[in-house]
Amino acid sequence: MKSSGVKGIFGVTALIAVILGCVMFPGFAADNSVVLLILLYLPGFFVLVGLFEAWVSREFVVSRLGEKSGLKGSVYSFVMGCLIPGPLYLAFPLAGALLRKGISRFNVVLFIGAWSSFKVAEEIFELHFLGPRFLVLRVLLTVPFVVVVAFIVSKFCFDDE
Amino acid sequence: MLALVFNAIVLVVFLVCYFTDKDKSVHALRLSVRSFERIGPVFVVVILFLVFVQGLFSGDAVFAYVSGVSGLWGYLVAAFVGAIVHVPLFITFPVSGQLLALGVNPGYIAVLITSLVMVHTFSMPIEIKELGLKFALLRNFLCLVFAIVIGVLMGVLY
Repeated sequence: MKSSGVKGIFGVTALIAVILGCVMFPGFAADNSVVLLILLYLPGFFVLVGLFEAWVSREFVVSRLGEKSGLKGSVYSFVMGCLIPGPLYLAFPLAGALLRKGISRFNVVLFIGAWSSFKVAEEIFELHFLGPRFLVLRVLLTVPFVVVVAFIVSKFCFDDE
Repeated sequence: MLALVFNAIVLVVFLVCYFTDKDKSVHALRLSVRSFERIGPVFVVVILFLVFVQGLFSGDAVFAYVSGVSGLWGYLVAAFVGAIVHVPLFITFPVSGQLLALGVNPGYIAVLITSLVMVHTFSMPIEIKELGLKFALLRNFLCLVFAIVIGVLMGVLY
């Protein structure tokens, strides 16, 4: 996994995949491509994960976000999910890193839920285009479900680890 | 645009870390490369899948389809379409706003948005790799069901 050969093969594959995609679907490259957006996010994202793994100690995560962190830990996880910009598929590697550092299961699912539904930057968009009534209703209805999903998933989905 | 802001923020954070502790930050970069090597190949799969789906359905077609159905069927269609397709949010919200102004059931729009943001079929390989198959399946399934529930409630309350 560490050899530069593997990295090289991987890089070439990625490049071919993207080029192939643009050739197969010409309209795609034109209407400013989701793929480009993903690629733009990646460098910052992986640097962030590295920084997180090197700088944040396990004790810190366990005490702030672990099993015994209580309501405060859940609120932190939720707020963290709302504030970090980026699409959902980037939340998973970060969630994985958090789990390895000792965040509680409930909090990690809550983090993913908040990340997916309540991005601060995106809510501004929603407010602008769909209006305050729609935004407030949707958020009020969605929050309880995010908590329920976190509860169910954290109860049933980790026993194989 | 948001991606650039994101990268800029990370760069600032990294520089602050770098001037605080050089060795630790270089070590962090090494960890970054390692996690890229670990999860990178899965990203390629996801990007390929995304390109494929994107080619099959354009964003406009999705919204046109959702606005053309009615009844309970509409909620189901909106939920499944939202689960499979990936429409960037800077397109989703403006188009949803137009549909809302045109009088499309706000419930459908809520289902579509909820399903689009919470249920990500195309990125499931990443979710499975990081958090396990069971986790990914149950989370996506629950979110799909709740997207419909949220939408029905929105349709009643809005």
